[in-house]
Amino acid sequence: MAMIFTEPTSLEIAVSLTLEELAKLQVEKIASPSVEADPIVAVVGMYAKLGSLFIHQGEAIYAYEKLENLLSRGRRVAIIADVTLSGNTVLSAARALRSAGAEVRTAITLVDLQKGAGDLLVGNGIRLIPLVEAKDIRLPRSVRMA
Amino acid sequence: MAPSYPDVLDRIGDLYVELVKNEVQPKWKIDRIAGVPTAGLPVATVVSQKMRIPLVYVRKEVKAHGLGKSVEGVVKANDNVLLVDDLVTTGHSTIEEAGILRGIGKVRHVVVLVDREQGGPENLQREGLELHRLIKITEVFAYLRELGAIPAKTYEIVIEYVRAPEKFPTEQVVVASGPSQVASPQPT
Repeated sequence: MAMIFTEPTSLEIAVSLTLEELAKLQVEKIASPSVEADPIVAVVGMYAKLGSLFIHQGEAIYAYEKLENLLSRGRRVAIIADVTLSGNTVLSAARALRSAGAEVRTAITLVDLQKGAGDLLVGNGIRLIPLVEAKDIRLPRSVRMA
Repeated sequence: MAPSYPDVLDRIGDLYVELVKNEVQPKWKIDRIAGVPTAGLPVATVVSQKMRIPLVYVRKEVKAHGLGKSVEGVVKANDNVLLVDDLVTTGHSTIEEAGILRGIGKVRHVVVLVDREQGGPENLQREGLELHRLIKITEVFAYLRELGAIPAKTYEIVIEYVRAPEKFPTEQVVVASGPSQVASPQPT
């Protein structure tokens, strides 16, 4: 999925779809849960004029300021992921953000592969918004492998 | 730091683009923009997006369920790859990163926001890398002093550190374990 974010045109498509979803939410910051999502989060943040946070393995990176300080100027955060499977990566970022004072109620994912992320996240108070779901990207029967 | 402030990221991105257009593109065709995870990746992505030149980066760790490759993005052996990073100190980590990227394409130019003036340009030159920087660290602190944002004493300590970092206690210096780690004192 990361390759989509390395081509300017496909990144732009992913960014504009994400911006449409973000516009419906009341958030003050966005956060990346992994290095793969960092490119889209940086560009979405720039266009949406929202501060971006980058949480890798439960720790904030790129930041010279403490997460708590950054969150004191807006603590409603939406997580933006490239792909979700179990949802564990998003959940661990949400936990790190929450322990620093953030309010995390939504995660947007480019593709949800429907391996449990939706249920896991809802169980933890986070609504998952997939731009594309695994069921949407099935190949037509004629070209599917047996 | 910049990604936390979208307007700053936007403006810095424009400055990188201007520098690349003035100093690199007249003599070198750029096929790919390379970012350095983790700290250099957001700004490299912004430069890639603004210039509409595809991004490439080398991941430090490959996830078990990933595709099992560490290069993200499409790059051909003869592609000219522009290394975009946030800062350069001694240049050693930049040289290491360029070495990794030279396994996938041609690397001759490096663009950074801040040159911390500890031998970066000279060390890079010895490896066939030309450094393009937006600002030197002493210029940053001279400006901060002019604004009255830092006390004169702080300015003196910083300038002394830039001139002779070896005089400062080693525990202040974070030894770079990866290409993007920075050494203290941190510009705040």
